[in-house]
Formats: sequence, structure tokens, C-alpha cells
Amino acid sequence: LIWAGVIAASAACYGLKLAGISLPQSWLQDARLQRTIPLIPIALLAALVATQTFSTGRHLVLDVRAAALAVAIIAVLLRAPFLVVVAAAAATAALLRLI
Amino acid sequence: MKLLRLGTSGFGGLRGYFRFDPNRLTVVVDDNERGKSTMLAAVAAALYGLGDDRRSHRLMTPLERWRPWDGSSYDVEIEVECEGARYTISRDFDRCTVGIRDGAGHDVAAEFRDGKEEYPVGQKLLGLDAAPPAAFLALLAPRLRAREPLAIALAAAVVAIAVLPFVPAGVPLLIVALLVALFGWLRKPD
Repeated sequence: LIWAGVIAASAACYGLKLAGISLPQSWLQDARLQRTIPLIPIALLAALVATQTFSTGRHLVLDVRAAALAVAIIAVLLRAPFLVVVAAAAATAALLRLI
Repeated sequence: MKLLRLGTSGFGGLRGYFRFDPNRLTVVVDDNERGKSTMLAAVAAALYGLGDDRRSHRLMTPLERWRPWDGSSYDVEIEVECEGARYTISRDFDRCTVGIRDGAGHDVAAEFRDGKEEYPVGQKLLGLDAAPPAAFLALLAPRLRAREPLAIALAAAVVAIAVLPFVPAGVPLLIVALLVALFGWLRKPD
């Protein structure tokens, strides 16, 4: 049963990749599609940030991760490098839990 | 291990405070449907928690099954004696929290939390659970220079949080992706 699942999932992944590169050029040139596609990663990343900060499983929680996110936002506004943003957030959460 | 005490402000139809003498046999006798099995389930839930995984419980997860009938708060606390030491385990199933104290009242939860069922305390202590959102934020930030992407990001975050309690894991992201695709498709060209 597990192997059937693995093979099916592999085939599905391969099919998805294949579908991506076999899209007709005219579709990709479509103006509406070109406006829509850049919006999707923005929405997904924002949703990921929100859910991972304010939830545990299916429960909404407000804990030190919110403060860590605030620090990350400040770091981003100051144009800090990627690793500095991540480290600042992790350090904030760790320190607040120590107190 | 001996059970000394069980208390709950709501667990299925059960509510109340029960003491057990560790040096005697306890016999639980009552009519049908009065909560004898619920009492056993409450003890097990205090020790092991309640699963809320829809993949393994398709009809009703244990967490939903024992939700109090009258809408009161959903928690259980037991006191046990184990190898000469006493422990009080309190779980709040509304907030998904667990507290473990020893006989002297010290918080000893950290000693017990590991494995895939429990919250990874080590990761929490290092703040690693705060790292992924910060990383995603750092990836997101360069895309938010204009007003419209910023508005979309905020709306996406609000929608994801709003639907999260009502759908299985991962579905909030799918909903957000569908909505933004729809928005991009339907809005008027500038």
C-alpha cells in the first residue's frame, strides 16, 4: 500500500512538472495571467507568516512568537540581511521565554 | 503508578472532583450513561492528551468527542503517585496547554515533553519556532514595496487566520491562493 502511494505521488509530481513546461506560450503571454501570477506568492507567504505566528495546530494563540515577528518586521524595515532577521526573531522568542 | 485525584470543569458529560485512596481498591459504580467510561477517558486524556488528527480519525477526533456538552471550559487535572514521587498534570484542551508539577509545586513539564505527540520544548527554548515566520517575512518583504501588494499580503494574513480554526491544516493556504488568483483574474486592468 505504501509503495502504491509513493509511485502514485511520484507520477503526480512528474505530471505537474510536465504540465508546467508544456503550457502553451499564448497562455503565459496572457495579460491577466501575467498580472495574477506575481500576486500568489505574496498572498501565500503572508498567509504562512500569519498562521505560523498565531496558531498551534488548529488553535489561534498569541504568544512570544508575535513579539518575535514584530522584531522581524523592524529588522526588515531596517533592511537587515535575511539571516539577521531570522536570528533576531529566534533570539527574541528564546529570550522572552527565559524571562 | 497510582491515581490520587481527578478534577475537571468539563470533559464530555463529566464535571467535578474525585479523590482516590492509593492504598485501597476503588470500584466505580453507577447507572448506564452516567460517565464511568468518560472518567476513564479523562484519566487517559490527562496522561496522554487527545488527538486532533483528522487523517487518523475521520469521523470525530478524540478532541471533539470529549468536548463538554454544556459548553463549559474543557480541561482535566489529575494527581498521580509514581515511584514515590507525586505529579500533578493539568491539561487545558481549549488552549491546548499542558502543565506538569511535582509534589513541591515545581514546573517539571520540560522533563516530559518529547516525542511527536508533545510540543518540542527544546525547539521552543531556542526560539526556533519563531524562525520560519521571520524567514518567510524576509522573503516576502522585497515584494511589498508598492501599496497593492502590501494590501494583498495583509488581506491574505487576515483571511488565513480567520479560517484556520475551522479547516484542516494546510487548507487556509489553499483558500488564500484561490482567493488571490480569483482577485487577480477578475480585477480591472490598470
